[in-house]
Amino acid sequence: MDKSWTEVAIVFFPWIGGGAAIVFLFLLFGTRFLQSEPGSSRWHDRVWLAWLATALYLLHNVEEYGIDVFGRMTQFPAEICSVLKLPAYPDCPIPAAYFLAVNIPLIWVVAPIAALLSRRHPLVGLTFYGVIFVNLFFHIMPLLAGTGFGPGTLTAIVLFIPVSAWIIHACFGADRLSYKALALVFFNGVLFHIILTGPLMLFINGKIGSAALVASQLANAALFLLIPWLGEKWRGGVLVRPVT
Amino acid sequence: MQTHWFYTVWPFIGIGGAIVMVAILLMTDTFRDNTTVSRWRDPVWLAWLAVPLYWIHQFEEYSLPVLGFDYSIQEMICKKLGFPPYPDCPIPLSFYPVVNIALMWFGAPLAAYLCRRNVLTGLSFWGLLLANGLLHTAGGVAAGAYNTGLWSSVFLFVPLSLWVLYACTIRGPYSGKVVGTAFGAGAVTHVLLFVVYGLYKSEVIGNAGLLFLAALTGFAPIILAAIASRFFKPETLRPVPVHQATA
Repeated sequence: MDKSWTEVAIVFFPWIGGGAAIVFLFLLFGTRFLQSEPGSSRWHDRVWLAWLATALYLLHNVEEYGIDVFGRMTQFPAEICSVLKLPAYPDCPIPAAYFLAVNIPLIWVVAPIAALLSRRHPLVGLTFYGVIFVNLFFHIMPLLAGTGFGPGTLTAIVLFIPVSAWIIHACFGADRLSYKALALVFFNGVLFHIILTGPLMLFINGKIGSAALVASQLANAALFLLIPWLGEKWRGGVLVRPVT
Repeated sequence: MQTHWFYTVWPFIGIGGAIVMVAILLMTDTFRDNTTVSRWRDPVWLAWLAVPLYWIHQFEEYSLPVLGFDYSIQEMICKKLGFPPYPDCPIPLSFYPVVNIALMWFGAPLAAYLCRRNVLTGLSFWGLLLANGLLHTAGGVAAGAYNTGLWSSVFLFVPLSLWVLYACTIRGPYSGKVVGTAFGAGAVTHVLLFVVYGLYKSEVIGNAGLLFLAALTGFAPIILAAIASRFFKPETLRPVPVHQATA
């Protein structure tokens, strides 16, 4: 049976991202190129941290859609079908295009744009950590509930937990951004995941078609970038003023 | 044909790296040694440019059967060497990622990194690109048909290799002997690869020897360039600002 291009693409897109992540990691840790101020600590540099989020999520994608700790390929879509009590692929109704529409606009487009804007827009630059905070929760909870390692759990534990803790420590609090700004970043991550799952449920229940499902995820990525940008303008920029 | 998962994904990792590298090369000064001249005349930048170009070429060579196209460079190599097609071809499938990854994920970036100290080493992989590009092009013309890797050879390897020769020696500050030797080191590496195939075909080496020599071949341009550098005065091998040298 011939596969559609989306069914081929879902097998290989995480590896393309993984290759990009390797180059980003070399630039992040081997050069000062991705820092706003080359002389300062990279771990306190919001521009560097914004690029770090992109690289880490690309690696996370490799575990979710590439190969997981059990050596299973493209396991995350299969896991979603299983959790939703849907038949396994090839009979699972969720199209491969949905997963591509969730990941590629967000991680390949929005995350680098956010990092590029991070010099002048600190909240936009850090907004991708909102996805990481919430995604971490979805990967850790099944583990704590006793269902074991899912695709993405390893990178969530090894990468997302320490970097999330560090971001909250290094970027928010006294002389840094306010905890209200952190709340907006977190809210943005929650909203992204609500729009991620809401249209999927409508699709599964036959309320919308696959084109609307895919379009909802493209809009979701754009909204994810728009919210922190508007947040920076809210009440004359109160959210991006350092806390004294 | 059942293969290890990595044998199908590695060209995609390369193309991902190439997308980021090309964007950074063209839009930033990160890989430039000298910002007072065009990046297209900076040997260090040109040395780095060879890296993503070859990743693109590897993607064209090795991803087509995976993407559903009826072209396979592995089958082509087996056929040229007089072996039966896979799964009966004796060349282990691990050979292809080993030789390509050694060459272009490790060898070429190392050569580009060393270019700030030694132009001969830095430009050595361009000889490989030119030799490889000419082979693909000649093969395509002779057969009157597409071969895997042809488009990147015709549109990237051959014209840009010639540009490097032009920018570095014809209209550049480096002697023809230095740049020619650099290109020679890369071209000889291509010949060495054919020698390795010949040794395997004649059963002088087995699978382990093939894989070892494949990994070693990845560093052949650097090794050859390092040996050749001993015959040049060190000051002739260092990158120099173009405007000073041509003033």
